[in-house]
Amino acid sequence: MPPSTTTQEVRTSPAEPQRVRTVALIGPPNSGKSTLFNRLTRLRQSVGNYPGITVEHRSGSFLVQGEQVRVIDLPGVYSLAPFSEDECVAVDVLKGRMAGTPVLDAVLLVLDATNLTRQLTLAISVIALGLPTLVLLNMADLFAKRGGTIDPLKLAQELGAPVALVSATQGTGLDAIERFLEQNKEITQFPILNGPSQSRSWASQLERRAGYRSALPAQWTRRLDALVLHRIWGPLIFIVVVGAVFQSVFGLGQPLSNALQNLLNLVGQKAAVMIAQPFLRSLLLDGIWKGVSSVLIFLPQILVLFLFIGLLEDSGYLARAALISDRTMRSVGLNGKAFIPLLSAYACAVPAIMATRTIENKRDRLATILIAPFMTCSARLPVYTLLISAFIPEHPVIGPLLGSRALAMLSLYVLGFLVAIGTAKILKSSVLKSASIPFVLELPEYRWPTWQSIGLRLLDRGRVFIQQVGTVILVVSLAIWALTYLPLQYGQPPRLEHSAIARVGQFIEPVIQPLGFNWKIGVGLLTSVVAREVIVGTLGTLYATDPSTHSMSLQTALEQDLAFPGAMALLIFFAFAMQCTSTLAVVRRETNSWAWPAIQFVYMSSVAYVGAMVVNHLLTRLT
Amino acid sequence: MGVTTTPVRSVLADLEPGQAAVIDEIALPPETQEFLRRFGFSPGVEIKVSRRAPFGDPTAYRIDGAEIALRAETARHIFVVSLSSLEKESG
Repeated sequence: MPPSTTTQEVRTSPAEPQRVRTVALIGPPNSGKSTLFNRLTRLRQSVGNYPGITVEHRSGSFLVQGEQVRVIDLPGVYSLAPFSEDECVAVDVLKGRMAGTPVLDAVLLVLDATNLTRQLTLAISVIALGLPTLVLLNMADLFAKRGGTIDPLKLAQELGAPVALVSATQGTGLDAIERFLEQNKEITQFPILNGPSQSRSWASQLERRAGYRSALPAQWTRRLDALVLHRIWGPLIFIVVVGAVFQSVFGLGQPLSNALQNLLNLVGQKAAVMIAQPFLRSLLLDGIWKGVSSVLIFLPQILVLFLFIGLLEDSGYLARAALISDRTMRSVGLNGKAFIPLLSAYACAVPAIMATRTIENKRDRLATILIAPFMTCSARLPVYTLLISAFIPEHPVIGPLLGSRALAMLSLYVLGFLVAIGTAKILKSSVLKSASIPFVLELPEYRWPTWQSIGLRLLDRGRVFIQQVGTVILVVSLAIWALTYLPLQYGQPPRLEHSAIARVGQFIEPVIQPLGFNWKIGVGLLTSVVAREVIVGTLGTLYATDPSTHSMSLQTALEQDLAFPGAMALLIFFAFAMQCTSTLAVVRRETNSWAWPAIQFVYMSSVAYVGAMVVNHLLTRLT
Repeated sequence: MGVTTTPVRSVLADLEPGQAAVIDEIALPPETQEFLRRFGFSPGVEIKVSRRAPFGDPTAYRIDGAEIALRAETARHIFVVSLSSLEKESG
């Protein structure tokens, strides 16, 4: 490999001491910018949102000669024309206009060395901003291996900015960044260019002068694409991959979730013995521990899902999957990039909503976020299983292949899917109708995913889940607990049927009566806003404390207490209702507003209410 | 290579995989043109059809060394001048 850096006519001025310098990383998508960011900052990074918008703010720090340098990883952009929200953010940060982000001291521009042509126009506009800029030609290892050539010194002279060949995955040439930051380079004069076409011809001239020859397209990518996008093999591989991901989420994630639940219960029981004070014990265990555990048990599944999404994304297959599924997704007004997120929603809406970040079109992304919770997630399964086994007698429908219970379960899956599609159609033909932005999908070269990148992402997603969801869940669980603990009777907490929450349940009974629900179900609906499956535990407690049902199993008690139409209505209600605080918290984070989760909650609850009412009425008439 | 037939103006969506052409005109609203330009789609740029998605649409194109897929509904509005219909996919 050639020497890693060349710096031209650098006039050094002494660095200002005692000030944390801020640099920004900018570059087009797939240039390896995030890999570089991860390599520089490792675990010293944090993720948030820019104020008022949905773009993620990623920053971290690293040391240069013992001095801390703050680095901001800007969203991947193709140009500085403020087209998308991402580009507006990039421009604002680069120009020092972004509230809460300090004025930049320098810019690290990351380009994919193997294909400079298209990226040079971006390079020109970034350098033209006048900030000290270091141009990093990333993937130098692949570039050299595949016969690419360039004269970095010549390019540096042409660009008026130092150029270094680096490899973020190998970690080579990165000392150039350190050297660049040690020197406080003066602003380079640069011809400001007008139209983009002018920049383009300028770029090709520049390439010629720098002796640039792009690397040959990767043979591997072409061969693999011939197979992966083959007319027959392509869809088959697609199904196998998707099936494998799904199988792993349930086959690997579910047992892990169960194990975690057992562990959390065990810890709770051990702790219960140690806390003597009854109020404190109830507050800590019933209020906090139970509520938080009921949500925490989804973490393994979420992480397994993200492990696979990460592998698919980093390897380059995700883009191919989007290409294959685009035709189908288009029929509901979405695009191929929505497929994997929506599929993930069958496990849990939380990772699904986080995974929508790959959809650049904001309206499509929002539509996907809004319909994802209709997919049958794993938290609905305990509720479905309980109600189906209590109310639907098992008899064969299609011989031994499909029984009535399996059919009921399958119908609920289909129902959620249909409502999701219907909602998508309504949204995409009204409020979220896309402007004239066409669907453009870049198919990056296949790469081996690195454990570092996947690991950091898992850590990041896990942290987001625990922070965002944890705090909201804590508040909601505490509120629900307080309602079950109060009012005190003779200094003791009341039995559940005398508690405040039971009164709320009784109070709302007239509202839920048309659905065929009584106040006990009402209480279950209230407590299950923490997480859907919580209703099972609540009903268990309610029936166990009721003298008329206390000796029965939950199933039998339900059969006694709830009429068949009401039970079916309850299934429908759970299929549609937004009974999940975690999802609401994540939607709030991803849309950076309370409005969308509020709209989503109201919409889904209305659909659930009306759906359940219709089912209850129809079945009551029939039976 | 080098042997070029008479330039034929056609629509990008009509090119077959393996065919190469030069973009002549993008008959779409200015902001859409601007959007497509960031992926390399602008007049004078060479483009080659890589392959179609398994269900026939979208189609992947090689442009500026990158692989970019467009739907036919977009490619229908991009006019191209065929470079050479003899040029086969070469390694």
